[in-house]
Amino acid sequence: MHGFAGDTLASALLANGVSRVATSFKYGRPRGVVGHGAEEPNAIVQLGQGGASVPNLRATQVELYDGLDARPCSRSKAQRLAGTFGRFMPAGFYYKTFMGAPQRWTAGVARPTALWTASEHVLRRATGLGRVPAGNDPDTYDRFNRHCDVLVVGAGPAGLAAALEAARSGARILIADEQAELGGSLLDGSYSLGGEHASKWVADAVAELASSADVDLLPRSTVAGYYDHNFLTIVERRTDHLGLVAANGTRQRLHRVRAGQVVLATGAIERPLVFANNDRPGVMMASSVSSYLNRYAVAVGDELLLFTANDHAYRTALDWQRAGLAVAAVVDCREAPEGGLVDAVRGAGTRVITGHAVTEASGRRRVTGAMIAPLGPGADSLTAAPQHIACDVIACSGGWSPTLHLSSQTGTRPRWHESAVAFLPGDLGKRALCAGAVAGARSLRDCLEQGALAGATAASRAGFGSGRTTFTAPETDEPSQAPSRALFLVPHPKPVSRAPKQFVDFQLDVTAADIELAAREGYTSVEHVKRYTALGFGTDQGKLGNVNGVAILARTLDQDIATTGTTMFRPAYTPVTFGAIAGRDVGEFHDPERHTPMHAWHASHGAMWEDVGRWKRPWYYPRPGETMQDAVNRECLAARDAVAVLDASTLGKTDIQGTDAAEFLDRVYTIGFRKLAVGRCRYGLMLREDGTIFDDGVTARLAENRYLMHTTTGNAEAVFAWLERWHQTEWPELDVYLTSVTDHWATTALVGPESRAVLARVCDDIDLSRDAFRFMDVREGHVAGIAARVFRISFSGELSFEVNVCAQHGRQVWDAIVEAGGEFGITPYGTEAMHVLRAEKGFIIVGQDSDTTTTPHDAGMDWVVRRNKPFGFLGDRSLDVSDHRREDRLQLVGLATTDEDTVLPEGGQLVDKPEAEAPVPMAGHVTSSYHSARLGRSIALAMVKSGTTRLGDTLHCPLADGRTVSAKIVSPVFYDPDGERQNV
Amino acid sequence: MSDGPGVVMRESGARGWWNLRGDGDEPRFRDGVAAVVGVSPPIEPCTWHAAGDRRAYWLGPDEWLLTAEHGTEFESPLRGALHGRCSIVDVSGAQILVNLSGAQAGEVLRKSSPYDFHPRRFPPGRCVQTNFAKATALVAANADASFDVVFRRSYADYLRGWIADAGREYGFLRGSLGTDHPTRRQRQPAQDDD
Repeated sequence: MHGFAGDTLASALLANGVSRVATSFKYGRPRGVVGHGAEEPNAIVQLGQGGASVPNLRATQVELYDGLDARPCSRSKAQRLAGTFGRFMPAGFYYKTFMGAPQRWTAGVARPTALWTASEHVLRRATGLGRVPAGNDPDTYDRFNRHCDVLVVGAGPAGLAAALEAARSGARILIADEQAELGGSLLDGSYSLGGEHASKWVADAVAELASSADVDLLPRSTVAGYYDHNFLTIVERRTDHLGLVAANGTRQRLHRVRAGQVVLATGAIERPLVFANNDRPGVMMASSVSSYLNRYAVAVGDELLLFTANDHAYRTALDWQRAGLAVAAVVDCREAPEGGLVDAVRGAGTRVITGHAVTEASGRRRVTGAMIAPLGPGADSLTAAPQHIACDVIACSGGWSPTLHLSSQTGTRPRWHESAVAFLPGDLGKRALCAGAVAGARSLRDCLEQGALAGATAASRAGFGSGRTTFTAPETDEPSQAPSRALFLVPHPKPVSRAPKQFVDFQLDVTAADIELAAREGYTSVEHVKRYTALGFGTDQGKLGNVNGVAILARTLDQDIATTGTTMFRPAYTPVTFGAIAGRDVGEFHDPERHTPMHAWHASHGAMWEDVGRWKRPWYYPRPGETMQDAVNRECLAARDAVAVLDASTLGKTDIQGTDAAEFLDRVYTIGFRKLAVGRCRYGLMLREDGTIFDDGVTARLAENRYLMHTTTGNAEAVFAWLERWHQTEWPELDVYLTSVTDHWATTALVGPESRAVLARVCDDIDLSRDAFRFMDVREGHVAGIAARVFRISFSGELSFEVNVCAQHGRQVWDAIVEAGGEFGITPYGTEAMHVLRAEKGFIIVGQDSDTTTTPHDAGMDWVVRRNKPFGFLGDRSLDVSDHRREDRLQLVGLATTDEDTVLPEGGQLVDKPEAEAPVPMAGHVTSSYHSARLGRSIALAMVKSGTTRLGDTLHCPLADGRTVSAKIVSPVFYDPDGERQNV
Repeated sequence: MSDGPGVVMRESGARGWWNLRGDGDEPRFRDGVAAVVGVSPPIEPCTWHAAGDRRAYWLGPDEWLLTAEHGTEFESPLRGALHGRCSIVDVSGAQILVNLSGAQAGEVLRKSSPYDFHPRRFPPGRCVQTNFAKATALVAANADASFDVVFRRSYADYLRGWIADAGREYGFLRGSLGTDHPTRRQRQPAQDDD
């Protein structure tokens, strides 16, 4: 097929005589293009194949490009819509395959039935009309934050006037429009402004805006969501019009806009009229017929019948006539329409049939004519039998429905205005304004003047200009318009339930009969009827059908439309790609990796990684041919027998200063810090208010009023926030300052019997001897010539020194220590070996061996709890609640498997009698489990009911494969129970 | 973009950085800081002061970030001058400073942070701690229309990559700054855009 530059997919299809673009979702009826913009319910297409494929696009909004490949999204009978579009110029068009393999329907859904109701699985089918792309999306998307004083949504006459006025005040303006060109409805019609074609005025307005400082124009940009506090999202399609995949750059950009003021100039959508078989291809909106004719030079048929309830649509008859095409008749439901446009049409010799309505469209695959009949006074009956008029296009206009989706998203309920025959936006408060057709304006002059006033007002509210407008609307050629008639459902000779289907929602095949049925079944709330019938549930959110549905419900319930009300709309206005939402937060940017200063060394030494919070930590360093267990065994034995080195930089570190620093620590830790000597360290447990273990770590006293707290790696931010919260909200009187220094220090932990010897090679100003530098001391000096703070603390039970230097020198000091350790066989080790070493010693890992129910007593850590502090500590009182004093609580124990080579699974459930009848009472669960190279056997930590009183008992762990592993309860300290190895 | 890169990122070499806490309402505190650092701690929120190589960024009502040339010693002198009524912490290892210049430097910020960096709202002399991609950063506006971005060392690999990616469409160049001034314009041999 061929089209022209500037065509949409819909205009090109129509130009090529494609009248059927979809098959309806429920009844399998042929459907054609109805609209020309976001409202289009039928021509929903999926572009392309594979990972780049995009579903749920409206053909009316897809700009044509060379090679475009599209297919209908409708699932009932998937038809290959089009082949490939060849070159734009010269035109010469061939239409390729239009058939495809029918898809299977599930029984009961496909069968047309008047009693069909919207069960959930049907709705799911309905809402997901496209297919999920297969494979990764090759395109790039990103997000952009924007701020402006005034955001103008929509660049039709009202929006452009608003932007012009606001821009002249000097305010920062952003104007966004979903179309490729700015101009809105002026692009579609044959309007004149100031005696010239309206496009001249649009071009001048755009040129002025483009040359203004601090004005940004965003065409091809749909304002998709309007959230609290004037936060809006705009999806800008930057390359969609050039091809399926962007040649370079960003395909779509999600603008996240914080606007001081918002002017909604979103226009209005023409409303269909509901009559029998009104879904036949060839039944279209009057404004769409004009748009295709005026903007795309496409005549959607040969002989037009216009069916209208208002004056405005007479323009379509005039446009059609001007193009030299035949108008069969204008059918106006009003008794005595009068106005300039009506006169013009009559003056051109066109037959105008007043007081009549189209009751039914004839033709199956395409309209061949219309049945028309005179309407009774209440528009609920016909006063004579219908007559047939031949035509192949029925252009309809029931009036205009303001596009109030965005105003509605703010939570503002639309209000029904009887005179406007429309829902209008409710009160938007002081930060947003509506202007133009969305606010009910009916003439071009009104749109321009309202827009200008809204622009000036918005700018003034944002602090720019006086709010008075200097705008003088250019002269328009609009005749006065007579009132519209409120007509929604056209009566048929047969009752609604028996008449041919009268469609309200084309996308989901909801008919007038469905709505009447819902009312008969007792659904009276419009929200319930929506869910019962699926009215407005499609990807088009009922842009065409909603008001008619509400009106039909109101009539069925014998109440007015204002009482019936309308459903609300939620973001997004039109579907948004997941790519735009994700932006650049994909792949390497999906989540930040935090790296220590020694990261590159680990990488170049073959480290396997473990994610700890956002940190990448070396897990183990396999040598060629080693399994993970081999590597971990080797690393553990090095730490026990010689010397090993660990990058401990990721530990959370908080510098605490102030005259109340000791008091503060006393309140957040179970143990006391007031009496800790300067230069000494102490292990602390931090509890939640409920007395359960939150964090643990070693805190050093660096000076009289200065401490350094270590937290677990994964908990560092949470602990810091916790400390700040207590300080700022509960104890602001304490003179204490907290500063995170996690990133400042690079920490090299030197572990093992030879660690002193290695450190001595690179440190000559600290006395490292056993008595001068005791276990739990901290000293300052130089390591490898760099100022260092050295802690003699241990998480392995071995002699150990943790060397802290400014991270700027972290790698340098690490390298020096590794080099100094060379002759001792210094071995880098990772988190897995670290875990094994600490488990051999029975040291818990908070969050692995403990959970949010574990108290210090449960973990066997009463030794670190001081209940006699004057102020107490967080969680202190909760330790006395009766449940925490139960004797059968889960308590920390060690497990020694009967078979020394079998390693229990972490998380494994423990039972006393595996053969007991289900449900087998649980005795506890395994929290940590490893093979210990030093002990030559499997070891495990577990939480077991009354565990501390059950030493020597045997428990059983049933495995998923049917085997059961038995293990004896032992002390959790497997190695060096007296702690002699770290005191050498 | 034909006349050069739209975004240039230059990373500062090692500098001294300190986190200072104290009571900015006390003239003695302000005077003491000014005497030692050579820059008074700004009292107006979200502003920074500079004198030569030294800077004081406002972080909060009682918190400032100080920076000076590598090797400077502030800790003991400040403690002495303020008679201990403060908290001063060396955080030199924790900070990475990059300078973003070029016509589209602001676009990179808009891709990275929800804060409003328009010159009307964020003129030279202002600074802000804000979200930056999925990390946080201190952003400061310089008199030459460039921006300094200070972030935590552990996020540096992620953020360097993020900024390079965000700047690529505008033409991106990576260079380095002299080691002793955050925004000195002297050009080092530029590395390639990655």
